[in-house]
Amino acid sequence: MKTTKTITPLIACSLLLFAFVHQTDVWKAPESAKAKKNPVAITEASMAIGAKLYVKECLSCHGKKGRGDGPKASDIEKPVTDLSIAKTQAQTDGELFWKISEGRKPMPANKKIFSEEQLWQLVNYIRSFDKTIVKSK
Amino acid sequence: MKKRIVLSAIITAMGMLFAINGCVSTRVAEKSGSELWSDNCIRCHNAPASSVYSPDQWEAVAMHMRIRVGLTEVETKKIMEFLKAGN
Amino acid sequence: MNMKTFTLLTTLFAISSSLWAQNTSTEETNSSGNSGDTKFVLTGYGYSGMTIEGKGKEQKSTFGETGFAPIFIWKASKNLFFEGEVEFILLGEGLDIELEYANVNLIMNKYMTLRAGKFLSPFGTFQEKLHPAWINKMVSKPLGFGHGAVGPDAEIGFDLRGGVPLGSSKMNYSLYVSNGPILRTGVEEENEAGMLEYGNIVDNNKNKAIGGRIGFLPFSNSSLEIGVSAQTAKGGNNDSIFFYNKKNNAMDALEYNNIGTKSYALDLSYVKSLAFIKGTLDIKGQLNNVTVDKADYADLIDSTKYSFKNVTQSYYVQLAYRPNMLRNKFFNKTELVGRYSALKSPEESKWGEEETQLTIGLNYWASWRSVIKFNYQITQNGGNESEPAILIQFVTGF
Repeated sequence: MKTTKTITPLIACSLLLFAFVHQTDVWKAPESAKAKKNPVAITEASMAIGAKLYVKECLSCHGKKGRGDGPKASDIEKPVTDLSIAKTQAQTDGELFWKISEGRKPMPANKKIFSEEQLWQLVNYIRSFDKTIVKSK
Repeated sequence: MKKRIVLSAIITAMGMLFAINGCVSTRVAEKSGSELWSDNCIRCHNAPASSVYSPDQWEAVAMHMRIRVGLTEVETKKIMEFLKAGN
Repeated sequence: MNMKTFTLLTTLFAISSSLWAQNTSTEETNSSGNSGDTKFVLTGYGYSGMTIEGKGKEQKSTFGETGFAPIFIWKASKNLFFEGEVEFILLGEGLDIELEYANVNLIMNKYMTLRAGKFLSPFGTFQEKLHPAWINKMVSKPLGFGHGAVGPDAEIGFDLRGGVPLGSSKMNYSLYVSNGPILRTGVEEENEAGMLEYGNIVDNNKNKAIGGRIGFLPFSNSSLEIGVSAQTAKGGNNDSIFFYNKKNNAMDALEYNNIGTKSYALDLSYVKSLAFIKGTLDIKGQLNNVTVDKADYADLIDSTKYSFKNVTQSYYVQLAYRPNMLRNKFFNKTELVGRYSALKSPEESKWGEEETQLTIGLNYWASWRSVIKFNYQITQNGGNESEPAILIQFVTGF
């Protein structure tokens, strides 16, 4: 009994200690990048390549369906972006292209890893996560 | 008796592991830095985000981990490049 | 040092120096540009906790073991590396300072690294890779895996190690020559006759310990690792021990210079993030076995000598699950852990005991290397009543 009495406040205090608030700041792509047109058409073949690249480089944080719930997401202090929500999907292809290329700590800059074509294929694949499209079907 | 139970439990567990992983046959050398980071760090501890250390520090940490765990040279390089790219 | 070890060491050096020479000739230039070549990191971990032991009236609680372990890591050049760890622990009597390891490493080629100095024994995986408080998922260490463990915990000597890719599998190895264990004869501490002491700075004989470990990872996702370790050494002193033997009514001499020790360990680790359980499964286990040749020890109180079968064994199995793929920001940082461990030391020795322990834990990961652990632990010693304990620990790596 006495033990429980000592432990309960201890647990409560420790949990409070470790509860911290995340602050998110807006990440904006430059206007020139926003307007950039996507030259890669959505075909089965290009989507398959995009999927493969996604699994290799993005999945561990962004998760299988892009919801920001990959196996590594819970240990990253910044919340991992949910790629399926309207806020992400409302961005232009050019904006997504720029963000994947440049990265923002702790997300890696991918322009050295991927070719331009591969980056566009990734953008196309990320479009398949769009929740709003699934709902309207 | 007790030993037999433990032994059969181990064999069953191993069988299950092979069943789960049986379809995985990619060569380790073809894996990306992101995948290797995701697979290897958690063998002992949670995987650190790239922002934890500076690119220079990652070089020292990668060498420390390569020697401690016996990561291959290629794996170490890819993981290090992945973590440096996130800075 | 005997001839065999000398030859082994010289061969090792010969191979290593030639391989290094090849490697340096193709050295790349440093690509990181604006910074110096020496990369340094000061890392480590600190911890503190609380222990509540016993039942009913006999219950006591104490703010427990507190420690701090800075780790210094230098990458001096492309091939040269140094690592050192000092551990400061507040124990019963006061502050305990220990040099956990300090070694110089030379990466000779893709597959070989030679290191010299004090290093954690590659005997299984717990001591070398899993014991730091921020990595160990429990507050306590498994029975027979703490300080004074079953089997070697640290070596002073040379070690050759590396990782080798094997297509969709890979392996790693470690092979070392070190001072090895010293056999306690009971002259200084009577109750410790037949025990082994590890991590010796000065050896008590010319024999060197030879040991190593091979780890095999069959799957390309590195989820499973199976390891086998072994060490062989002579532990005895060159000097004889004289004592009065009542049975013969005369002085008797006991010799230990030929007493050999053989140790082996088996280890297993399976860690995998599985989407269908929304989390990461972590299974670990290790078995340690130490056999010391049969020897006579003096019982100075009874003035007789005695002998026993000197085999010590300990093992642990641990299962952990963390639902880290849940979207709930609180639950994806929690982890459930269960561990069972057992220790059996020689029954007829003066330090023999049989203990088992069950630990159940709940962890909360505040960051990737900061954790609060809540453990409930039941220890059973021989036929005695079981001892329950509650252990709480705060740890942070830095």
